Amino acid sequence: MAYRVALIVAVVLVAVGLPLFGTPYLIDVGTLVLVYVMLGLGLNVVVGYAGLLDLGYAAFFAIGAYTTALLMVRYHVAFWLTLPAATFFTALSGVVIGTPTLRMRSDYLAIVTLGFGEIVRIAATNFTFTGGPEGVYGIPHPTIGGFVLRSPQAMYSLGMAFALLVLVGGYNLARSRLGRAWLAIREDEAAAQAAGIYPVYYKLMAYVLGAIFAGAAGSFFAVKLTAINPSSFTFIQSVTILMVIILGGMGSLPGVILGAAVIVILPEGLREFDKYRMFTFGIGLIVLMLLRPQGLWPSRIGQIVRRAVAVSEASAAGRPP
Amino acid sequence: MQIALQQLVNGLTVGAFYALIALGYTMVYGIIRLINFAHGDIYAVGAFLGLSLYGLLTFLHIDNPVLTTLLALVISMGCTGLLGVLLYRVAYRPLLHARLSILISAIGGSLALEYGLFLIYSPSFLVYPHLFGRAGPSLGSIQISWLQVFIFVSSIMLMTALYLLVHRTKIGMAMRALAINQDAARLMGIDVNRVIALTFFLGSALAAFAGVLTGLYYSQISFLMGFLLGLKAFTAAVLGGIGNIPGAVLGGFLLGVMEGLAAGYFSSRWKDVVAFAILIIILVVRPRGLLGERVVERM
Amino acid sequence: MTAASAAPTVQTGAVLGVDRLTMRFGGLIAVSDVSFAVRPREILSIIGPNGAGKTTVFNCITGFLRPTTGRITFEGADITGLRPDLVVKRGIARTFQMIRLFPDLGVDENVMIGLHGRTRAGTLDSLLHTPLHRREEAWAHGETYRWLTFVGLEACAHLRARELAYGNQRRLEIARALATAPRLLILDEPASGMNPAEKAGLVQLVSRIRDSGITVLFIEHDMSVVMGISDRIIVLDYGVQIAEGVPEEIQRNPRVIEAYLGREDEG
Repeated sequence: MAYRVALIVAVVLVAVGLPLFGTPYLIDVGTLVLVYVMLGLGLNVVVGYAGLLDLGYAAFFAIGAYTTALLMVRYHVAFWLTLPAATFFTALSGVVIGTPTLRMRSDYLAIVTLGFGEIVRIAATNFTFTGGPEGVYGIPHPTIGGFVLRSPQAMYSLGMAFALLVLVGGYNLARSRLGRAWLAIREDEAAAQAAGIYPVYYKLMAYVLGAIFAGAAGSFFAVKLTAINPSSFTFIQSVTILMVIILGGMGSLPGVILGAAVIVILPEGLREFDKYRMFTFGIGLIVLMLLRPQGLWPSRIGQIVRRAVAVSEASAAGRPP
Repeated sequence: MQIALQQLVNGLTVGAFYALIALGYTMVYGIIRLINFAHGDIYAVGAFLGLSLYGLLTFLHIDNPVLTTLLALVISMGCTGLLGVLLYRVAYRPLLHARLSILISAIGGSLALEYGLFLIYSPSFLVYPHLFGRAGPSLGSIQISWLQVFIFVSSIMLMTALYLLVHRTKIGMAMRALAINQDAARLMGIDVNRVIALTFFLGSALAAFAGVLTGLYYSQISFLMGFLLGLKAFTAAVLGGIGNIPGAVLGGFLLGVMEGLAAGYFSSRWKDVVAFAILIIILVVRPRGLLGERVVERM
Repeated sequence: MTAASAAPTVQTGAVLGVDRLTMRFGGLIAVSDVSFAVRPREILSIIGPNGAGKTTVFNCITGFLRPTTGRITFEGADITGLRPDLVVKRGIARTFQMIRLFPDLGVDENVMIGLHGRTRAGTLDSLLHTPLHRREEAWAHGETYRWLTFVGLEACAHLRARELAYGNQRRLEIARALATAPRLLILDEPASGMNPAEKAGLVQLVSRIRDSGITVLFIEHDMSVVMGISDRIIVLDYGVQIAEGVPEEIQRNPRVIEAYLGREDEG
């Protein structure tokens, strides 16, 4: 337990110290970590809490980013006003993909979300409205009362504010009526129904909340980079986000932060080995599943997820296909 | 009408690729309920191995195009089949009872194979030897090459052989028993691991066959070729009814023909979106596919 | 005369009415034309040999199965084919033949999940921990301990459900069902696998549940338990209702004896 406390203290110190003492490059890396923290926390709701494997999560990230980018560039809407719009569109897309798929087998769900992710990316590449393969550029910096958030420090602070909000939301959800309902469905859907829970509704809610979190990350991502294009929202991106929560430990909030840091900093540190990155990633996923499927910072929820899955598998094995 | 017939011929060729790969998905899914994400990349490995073999055979001064092709096909099928077994042993077997973990491991396997090819071979397209011309049987104004005829006929033969293996032999019966109830099969004395390994071998060998022929047909290959094709082949397997061998064949040819016909009427930029949309619609509307049995859901 | 036109089995004042219930699975008829009524505050048992269709009847009542034909009414309202969670909200709670707890959650959390339908904090409340959510959580904690105390598990509140002894897991499942504030409690073989001491405790618990005003319908194999606490008994055999009556009548009923022991000329 002590090492966990020490680690938390270290993380807080780095997070606070970075904008004060870091070089612009380091602050940039830190900001990117924050983006993945948001994405990881959002996907954590879907996969970690509700146990629905989503392989097209980058689509929600894309929808948030494009909503903010297009509204700001084409219609000169202020950044803050694009946030409700991004929330609306991502939530809507969560409902659209969630509604027809929630009664599906879990592995079919994975492949459908993958298809959805690819459709969104290809659509963004093909529409002229979204700027095609070049995407949207010249996205203005956000302003607060006339003060333009431009410096790395300012963007880091804005990202931190976003990430903290998402973190508090994620923390609250884990300890709420909604979170309990997710856990119940996860562990035993029939028992959950017998306790008065309607699984379909709560699975949909997991999708919608996960989508909204990714949308917020996307909005921030757009103004941070000032230019976005479809190559940021590939299947690989979805897998990377999944890697964040698997690395950290499914369902664990400190784990997500840890996972995000590793996933961003490791490739940055190994720039000269960049071409080995994806290969290592693939091997890493297998090794992680074999040796430490509970992740670096295991949580109780993560253990439940795996055990529930194993149990359902065992009971399914007893039945004819 | 003539365009339609031409597209039908091309669609049947591509459909043969889809069908061959779909068989691997469907057999593995039928037996261990795993969407083998790496299967598309196994197909890519087969194509790259074939390319290396052509190089090797040329180096050994074996120049007869028919002989080299047969050797490339057989050796690539054997090696890729073993690779499939290796993948099962290393990445899947320890995780058979952890559904989420095994799926993630499969994604890892897919990335490792893709970027392994990227590292070993090349990040860009590689050119296959151009051994067979465009000549073919004369069917009026429809263009058809001997290679296409070979692809179609040999695929059908392989698929028939597979069907007979599964339905007429003892090991095939073991496979079917295992698909229905693994524990019962184990109790009946079936070596479950060997049967699963064989399933991976067969599926991977068929994918390698498709891989080499893809190289000859399109004359270029890339390390990412398996990702999209794999997804489409999976679509084909689902379309036919996953777990069902004739279903995978039917689904493969159907998807190939639909795509061929759609290419004329749709912009090709949206072709992939159409394929994914078909996949999602089938899974939502009729998840058991055209020939599939009803898949039991956990209550 | 409105009373005369009502279906004969739905007696006035019945809590639950099962009217000509039939359930087919493909060619198999699991339940055939079963009708009965549960009176307020009684303990009604359904008994019968294995495969007699008892659990199927329960699954139809609680919405886990949609009956092929027939009607189920609860407190006068038709609930045939209603979703399980909505059946719970109407006031019917159940346990399962094979215990279905949330084994990796805490004992207290298991009961709190039973309170789900009695709280209404929504997504935003859960996300923001609004005052409504906090008030409800505080109430839920109190209510949880009330039910844990009622079944005698208050000392185990912080264990995981899987760590409980078998008999206590049964009790926890009953506590979770009670937490939904049912007016009808349906127990599916609660005594199976229990030792004699646990069975005695169960009989006492079920009596206390009835005394608190809850009607109890249960399936049981153990005749000592059934005869000890049932007000009335219904006997099913191969999906058909073959007897109904008070325990003494059932014990003397030749068809019941035959169903359980088999006809002599069959031997």
